Amino acid sequence: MSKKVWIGIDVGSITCKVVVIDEAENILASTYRRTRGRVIDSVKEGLAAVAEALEGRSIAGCAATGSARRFVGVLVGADVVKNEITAHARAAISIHPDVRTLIELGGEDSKIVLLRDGVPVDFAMNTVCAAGTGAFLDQLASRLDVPVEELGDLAMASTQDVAIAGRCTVFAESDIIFKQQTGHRIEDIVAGACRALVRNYLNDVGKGKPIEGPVIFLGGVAANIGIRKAFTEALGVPVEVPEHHNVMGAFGAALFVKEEAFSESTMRALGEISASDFRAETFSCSHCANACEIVRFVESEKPVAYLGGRCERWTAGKSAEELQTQSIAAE
Amino acid sequence: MKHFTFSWGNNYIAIRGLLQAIGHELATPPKINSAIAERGIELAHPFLCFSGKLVLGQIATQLDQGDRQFTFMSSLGPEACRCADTCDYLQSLFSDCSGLSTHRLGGGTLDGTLANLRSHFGPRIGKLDCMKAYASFLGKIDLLHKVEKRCTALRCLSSTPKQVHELEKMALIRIDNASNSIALWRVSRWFDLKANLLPLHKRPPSLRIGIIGGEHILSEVDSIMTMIKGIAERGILLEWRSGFRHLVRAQSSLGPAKEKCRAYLNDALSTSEVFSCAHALEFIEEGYDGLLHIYAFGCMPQTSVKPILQRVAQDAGVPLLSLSIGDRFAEEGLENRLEAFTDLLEARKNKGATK
Repeated sequence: MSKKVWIGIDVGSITCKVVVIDEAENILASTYRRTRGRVIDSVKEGLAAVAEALEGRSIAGCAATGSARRFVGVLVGADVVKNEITAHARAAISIHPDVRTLIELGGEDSKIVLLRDGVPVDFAMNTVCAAGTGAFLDQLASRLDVPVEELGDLAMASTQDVAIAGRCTVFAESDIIFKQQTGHRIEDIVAGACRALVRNYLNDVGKGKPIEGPVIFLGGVAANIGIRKAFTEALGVPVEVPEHHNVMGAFGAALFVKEEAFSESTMRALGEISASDFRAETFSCSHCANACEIVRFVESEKPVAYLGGRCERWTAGKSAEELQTQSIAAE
Repeated sequence: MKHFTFSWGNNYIAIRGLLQAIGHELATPPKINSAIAERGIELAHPFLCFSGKLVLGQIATQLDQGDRQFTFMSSLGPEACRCADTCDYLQSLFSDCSGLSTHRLGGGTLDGTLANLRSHFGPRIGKLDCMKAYASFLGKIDLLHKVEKRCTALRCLSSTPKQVHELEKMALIRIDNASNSIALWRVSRWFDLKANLLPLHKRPPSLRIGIIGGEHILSEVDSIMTMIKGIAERGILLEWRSGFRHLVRAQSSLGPAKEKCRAYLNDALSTSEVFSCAHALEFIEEGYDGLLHIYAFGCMPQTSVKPILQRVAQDAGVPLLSLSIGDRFAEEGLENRLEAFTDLLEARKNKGATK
């Protein structure tokens, strides 16, 4: 009998992460790539990148997480669809059972989860602003014309404190321009921006939360050593960054589906996913005055699923034939 | 004469009852959807809260249809927020709209409200007519509140959520059609009988969540609360004590509420803040698993009370999630947070059970 593996897929606003775990919850393969606005292609590419680890093994379950989780869930036929807050918390507890604070900075969102005795007890996410997220660093890198991956090393080479406004990316950019115009070194500006991002995060997402160690830092931004340093200084406790920090959402999702112990996975075959011409369309339901926006998933020119709406009209379990009829009737 | 108003959920039904008692009619407000929200956002000052923008969207849509007699009910007791006092603002906003009459009902005391009603609808309205009109309004408000609360609980407890939905729909029609107190009493009895007959799950609710927050946003059943009440169908019992009914009945319960949260609030805080804090403390005393704080982005009282609620929850060790509803419905973000919050509460409860 072939060995079992479980797959977790995390598609957020900027990146797509895929993780394969084994029975002992070891990560056998993982991939982290930018979606560049092409979610379907990035999932197909992500699965292709971990395909080698699946050879000779049977897929016992697949879970989708991240802001595109429902879409991805339909695309791959996921057994479990879980929100990314819970998925990250699950992963953090698995790698560090005593963790008390989880900081996660993603592409366009950031979150904090407080954990006590291996259980999440509180969480918060950024609300109306992406200033404390990876988007801020992308903007900074673009403004300074340096690769985003190099920002951390630049920050570490700083020798002088430069204050940058971190409340808003627009104000921060104005401030950075001013600091450049007044002759400050790029290394000092980057370090100032890292501190600004951390300050924004702690004042917005972490406001009023008792942040206690051990603190674990996840997400793509955790790769930036400058941000890590700024967090350690601001919090006064060590901030740990685990090896697979950038794929922890997908890892957490894989752990969830493994726990469910399904007798058979609903995941579609990899070949079927990669050959699929799956696409999404949006329309307004005209059945009532709510005029809900509905997403229709189409494959081989047939509707295969719907998302959205405030009633069960579009989302109750229906056969492909019923969906086809419903779709025609709606138009 | 035919009037129009904004919906505040289903509470326009009570205002219609009041107007019908004095021989006037009320048009059914348009349902809140993205188009209505966009219209309100376009018209409103950016600092007006999201509920206020929805209200403006509904008013503007009806003005576009040619309606001109605008009648709205503010609190009968102490004002809870500036949205209840938008009369002057509305008049300035729609000052170029020819033929528009604005009637603001309500007032601090019974005598004041009677005088207010007469000033809008003429001195020939007798005291008895006024009393009947307000009896109809208050009776309908109470029954609407009861139906909404019971049906929300039944969405969690009943094994037939579709029947709950039907019952709620039928109850609203019957409340709307009830022309006097006896008819209303009959509707209440009919509703109780029907609700008692619905089959229930054998399992108890997995979680109990107390909802606190802005009265206006909690009344938006067409938009915000539909999404939030969806979690009841996952076996979660939801309870809230703030709403339009609460605003109009605020006078008698404000004193005890202030007393309850004396350790957390000072006298400078307004009605809405006092009730949010008092309700949070009540839910904690009653052993609820979590607190959900929902408020409109830009709502001053609820923004002020947010850190106080954090302290209340922290002192009691009960998880609190504050959700601010912004200029769009942002369903994805809302669902994400609600799902994560219920996951957190479940994990916490399971851990407690294991211990």
